[in-house]
Amino acid sequence: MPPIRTSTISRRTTAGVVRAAATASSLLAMLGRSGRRRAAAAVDAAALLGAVVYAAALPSTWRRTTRDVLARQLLFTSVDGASTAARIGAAVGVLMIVQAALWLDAFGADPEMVAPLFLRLSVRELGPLLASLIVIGRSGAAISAELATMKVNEELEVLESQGIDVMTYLVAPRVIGVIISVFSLALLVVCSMLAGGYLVGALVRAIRTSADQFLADLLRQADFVDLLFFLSKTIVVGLFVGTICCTAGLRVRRAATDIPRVAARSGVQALSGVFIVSAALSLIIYGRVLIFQVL
Amino acid sequence: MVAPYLEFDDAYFSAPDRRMRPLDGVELAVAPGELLWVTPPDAASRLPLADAACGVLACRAGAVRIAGEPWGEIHPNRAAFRRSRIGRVYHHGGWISNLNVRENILLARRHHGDDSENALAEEAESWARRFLLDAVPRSRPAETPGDALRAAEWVRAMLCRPRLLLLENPLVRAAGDAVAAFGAAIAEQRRRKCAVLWISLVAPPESAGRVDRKAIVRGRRAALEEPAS
Repeated sequence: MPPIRTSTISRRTTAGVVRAAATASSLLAMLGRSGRRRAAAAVDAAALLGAVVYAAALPSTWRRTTRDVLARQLLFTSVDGASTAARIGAAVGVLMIVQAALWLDAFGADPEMVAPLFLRLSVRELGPLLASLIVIGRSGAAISAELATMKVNEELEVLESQGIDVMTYLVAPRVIGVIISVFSLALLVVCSMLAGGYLVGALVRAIRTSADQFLADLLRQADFVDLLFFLSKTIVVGLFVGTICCTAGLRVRRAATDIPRVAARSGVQALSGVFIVSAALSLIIYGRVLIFQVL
Repeated sequence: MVAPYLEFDDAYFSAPDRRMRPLDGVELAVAPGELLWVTPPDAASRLPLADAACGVLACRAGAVRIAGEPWGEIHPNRAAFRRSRIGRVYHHGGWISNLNVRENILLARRHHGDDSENALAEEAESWARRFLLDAVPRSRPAETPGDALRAAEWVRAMLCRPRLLLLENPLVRAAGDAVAAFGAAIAEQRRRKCAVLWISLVAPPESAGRVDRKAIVRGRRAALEEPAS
């Protein structure tokens, strides 16, 4: 076998280095493109959010056609989602009360701690979070798909050519509808959690007070900060969910095959947005992240 | 000489997508009450003229004026008002798919005006009967027969009390016996000083009245011809 020449080894090494450099360069380019794309989407969403807030504040926005769109959105998201919210709320309430009973027994804690713990968990975190998830699942992807379809089919241009502004007729009522839906479904979820939790808690003797006393305990524990947190969280989260879903739909390229991809992606993006916004609001209002006092 | 209501002043249009034909140096005008007939090179060609006449497609050079004002210089609220008085039959149907045909027809008038629902509905039904429809369809556009949908497009165009009519292939799939009624409606709007831009290989019906000017699109140019007799 003839010996391998040094020049051959050098050429192979050089070729390998060049390939590795090319791969690294491609990866960096891919990361750069991905980063730029995400940044562009975030900028679009921020611009849309500002435009929605501005448009919603103008009385001239709320013509009868816009009010019709809002009513349809509320019907589809809030009214049709109410039974789902009640069922999920009751189920989670049962889960919570069972866990509360187990842990309070394990630590020998006072059963009277159940009511305040229940209230704070449901009002501060679980109620708004579950309502957001329900709205994203029921309506988020649907909103994105609907707007994307309209863009692909040139229906947005049809509206513009009739002098109907897309922002005021299509986007603003959908976003406002999502905000109202998150708030109202969160209220429903909290009520059904408390009701479901009390019923099961009373059955398993984790709660040993009467319904009137339990309700009185809850009302005594509720404070202004909790209500402020609940209101701000549902409104802000709803605003982000609606904006993210509308932005995703309007950014579709003009190909019908992009529509399902856009719809799926918007749900994931809205979900991420919900958790990020919730964490940020917890930090601002309570000065805490999880159990850690930060501010 | 009456000032034109719609004017293309040496306008150059790029094609926003491959479905539309670019045009260079368009010099066309239509005055109130006039009918300008533009023939595309073939039936499938989609010209930028109607979109530009509504102000939703900008020209890359030159100007498109409506009532003497360039679209690019009109305040958005005034632009919306101008568009509300433009009746249009679209090249591609132009229906909002999540509304039924009746809701589509009434959308612009309900959005821009404060006429009562009953009055609007009655006016729409009146136009529908003129175009030989039993009633304004309440089905979704995708579920409406082609000839009824075409007549519904005419109803939508007329319902806005137009100052300008933009009609792209308006007779495609139309019921033959309704065409004369459509022409008569165009003539009636022209008597009310509505300007009409007819874009089609097929001539306007005789009942629409005299064609004031005709332009033929060849390649990227629109050349004006002598008035049709």
